[in-house]
Amino acid sequence: KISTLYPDGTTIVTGLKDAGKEIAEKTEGRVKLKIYPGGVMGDDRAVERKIRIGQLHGQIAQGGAFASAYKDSQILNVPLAFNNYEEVDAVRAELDPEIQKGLEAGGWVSFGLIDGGFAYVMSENPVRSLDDLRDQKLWLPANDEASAKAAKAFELSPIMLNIGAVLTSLQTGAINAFAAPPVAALTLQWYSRVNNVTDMPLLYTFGLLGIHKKYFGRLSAEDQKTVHEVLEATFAKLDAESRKENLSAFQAVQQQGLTVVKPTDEQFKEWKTYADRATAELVEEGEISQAMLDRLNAILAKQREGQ
Amino acid sequence: MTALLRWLHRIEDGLIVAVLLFMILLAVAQIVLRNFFGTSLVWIEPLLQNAVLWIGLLGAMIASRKDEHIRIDVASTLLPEKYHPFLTIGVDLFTAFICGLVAWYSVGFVIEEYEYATPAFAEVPSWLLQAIIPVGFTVMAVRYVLLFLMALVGKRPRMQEPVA
Amino acid sequence: MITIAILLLILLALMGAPLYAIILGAAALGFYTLDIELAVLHIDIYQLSNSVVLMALPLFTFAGFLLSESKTADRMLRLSQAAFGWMPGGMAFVSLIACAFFTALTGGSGVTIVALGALLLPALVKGNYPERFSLGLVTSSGSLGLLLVPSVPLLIYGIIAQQMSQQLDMPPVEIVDLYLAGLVPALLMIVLLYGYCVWATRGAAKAGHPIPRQPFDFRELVDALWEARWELPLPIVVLGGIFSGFLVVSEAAAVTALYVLVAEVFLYKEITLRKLPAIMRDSMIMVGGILLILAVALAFTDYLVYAGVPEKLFTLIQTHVESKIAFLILLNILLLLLGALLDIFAALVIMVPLILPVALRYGIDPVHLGVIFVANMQIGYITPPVGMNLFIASYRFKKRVTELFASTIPFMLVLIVALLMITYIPQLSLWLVR
Ligand code: NA
Ligand code: NA
Repeated sequence: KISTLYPDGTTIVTGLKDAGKEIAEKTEGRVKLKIYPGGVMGDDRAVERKIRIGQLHGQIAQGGAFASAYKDSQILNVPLAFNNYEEVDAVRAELDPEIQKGLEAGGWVSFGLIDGGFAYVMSENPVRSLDDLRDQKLWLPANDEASAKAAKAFELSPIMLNIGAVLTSLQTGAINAFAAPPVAALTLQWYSRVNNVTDMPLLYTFGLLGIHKKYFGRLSAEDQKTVHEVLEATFAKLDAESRKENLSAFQAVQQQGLTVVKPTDEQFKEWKTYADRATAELVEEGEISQAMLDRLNAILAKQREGQ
Repeated sequence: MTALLRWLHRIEDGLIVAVLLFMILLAVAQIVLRNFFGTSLVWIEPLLQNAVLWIGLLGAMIASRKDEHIRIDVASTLLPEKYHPFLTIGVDLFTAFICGLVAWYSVGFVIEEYEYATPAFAEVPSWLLQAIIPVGFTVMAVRYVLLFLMALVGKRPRMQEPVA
Repeated sequence: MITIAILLLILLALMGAPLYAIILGAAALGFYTLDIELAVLHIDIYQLSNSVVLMALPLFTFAGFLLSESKTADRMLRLSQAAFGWMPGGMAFVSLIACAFFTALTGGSGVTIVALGALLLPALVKGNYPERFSLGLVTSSGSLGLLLVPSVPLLIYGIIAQQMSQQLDMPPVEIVDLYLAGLVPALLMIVLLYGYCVWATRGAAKAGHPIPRQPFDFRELVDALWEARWELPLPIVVLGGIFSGFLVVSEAAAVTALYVLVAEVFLYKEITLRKLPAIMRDSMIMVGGILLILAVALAFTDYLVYAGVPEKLFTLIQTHVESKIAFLILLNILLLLLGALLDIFAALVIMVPLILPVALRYGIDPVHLGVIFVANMQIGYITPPVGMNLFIASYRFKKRVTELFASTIPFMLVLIVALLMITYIPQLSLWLVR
């Protein structure tokens, strides 16, 4: 029994339902996936509690939801770590298995990450420099420690609202800037209330399915293997499809009339300085280990050299 | 016993008034911060949302003192007054049982939450915010047991539609 | 065994067990049969702390209590009589308009009756309207503005529909379109209800208790306006705050509470500081009763969803329905039933994702569907067993739920006529949009 915030009918939920059918067939009905889409089981925290008492067994969520089980899973969320998807792919090729292993040690069996795309700043007035952003009324999700910390490191004074209040607040002008992957900005219609998108991959996002070991361990070894095979194949496919959707969504927001603005080299350097400071703080607070950060940087250095 | 009750009443009343006042002031402070200083404090929103839970349970606890809860009372309108004690005895025992049931599982969960030590936001531990649920349902369970006992000696307040 | 337990719950409900205990009992029983640890009840009740809109309930309730403890009702009565008293059924008209505005502003959290009912009911009774008629009018008007900007249920529908529009072949659903689409249906409801009010009270004149009509007097209007000078800015503060982007709904509620507190305690000086804590406490007892029911309804809804009850119900209907009209009729019945059982927000979150794809296949416009949905749910506020307006009115007016329900029946029938028109004449909703 698996909960997700993704609504019914999305590529991910449909893909997972198909995988469920395949698993049921291959295990002769011993293993079934029941999906609760659209957040009907509550938010990440409520779902985590329901998993604890056994009402649910797993969830598909943003990587951050599993950070408490394995802190280094946040390594992919380091701000401004990547310049493009090639770098993401190079890093993920090496670190995905690592993250999967770490999560399993922390109690979550997972089957591969799903691309969530880069989050970009979208705003009413063009945002090139950090000061430009500081002049905007920037939205951040309420109840989200990680983004609150990041805002502090970037010396931003954001406006915290629940996700449901974002669209109306954009309409009324209570906020006029946000950072989000283009797919989210499109689905939630946020794009229609801003004029500019800053062409700078602020943050990489990803989702994943975690099934708690407590429940997964109850399956026979053979069934576990089947589930792994089917779901890993499914997630590889979903990852690729999501990537495609994310790329086309970036095109789509431009077609919807958003102007692409780019920071100058000088301005980008400033962003990067603050981002590095934020990352250093994450390491200091033990959110990410230095060793993991070093690995990330090593892979990136190698990749950049190769070009 | 009466003194104890009086203290409990005072704590409940004081808390609920304080939570409501804080709610108004914090919400207005957040508005002022946002519109005049272009910023907002992270902890206000979750604190306000939890205040709703606290007000809900504190209010429900107070309402249980004299059993002023929403109900569909078909039987007490149809039956003559002298049969009402039979109704209340059954109803009070059931309500006490249900409240006790929730309280029991709730205590267990909150202890677990304490052991997990998850912070709800900032440094506020989430078990503390949730603690009002087991406390509330325990107090309500006890109150319905008392109502049941009062009915046995014929001193229970009349079963009634809520009077605010 | 299970059947016996269910029957026992029904028996206890009829015997007068508190509703929250019955709902909890049902949820606990359900989860027990599914072998789920009952700590789930705690988790679901804690979800009460997860809503952005809910804060508006205690705050508007408190403001409403303050207003009703001071002489606002008298001022309001005087002013509305001065402005509309010359019309036939003037006070009834005032009630409808005021309720519609207030409900729209407060997002249908059920506070209209608290904040306005306490003013309107005495004013109506003073104005010679029969008490039963007045109770029915106020109780059923308490959800009248759900289709008007900036109503929260319509917004929630829009957000769910937008999320789905990515996957489905459907025209876009803009929030603004939904609000535009809701305008005419909301006005239709007001006009029909007003028509009924005039018709229903015509008999009073024949019986020798005519409802006094006041000749229009400009001087009196100005005096009444001046007397209400501290309270008149309130709607401007709230509406202006929301539309200028200064405030979200819950914040508008906080501003209202603070504003009313200052106005009644320090400007009108009709409430002493010493009386304030008692008023706060009493208002929160009522809020507590309602929040508790909402909380346990979350648990019960969780059980229903977990057990897949809504889907099963829906697949059943889907296999037996062929035409669009038949689907719409069944949709209305289903939504009325759901409205009788579920809280509006729960109903939206659960049912929209299930119904929208099917409705599209029957050729129903998603904007129209949103209006149908919310119009149905609006009636759900006055249908037992879970009718928020009935509960709140029961608390506020110290009346039995059964008595209140009886008083709302004629108004409910009028609203159902409006609902049928809204459902079967899509142009009512769509002519401003498409
Ligand atoms: Na309802
Ligand atoms: Na109802």
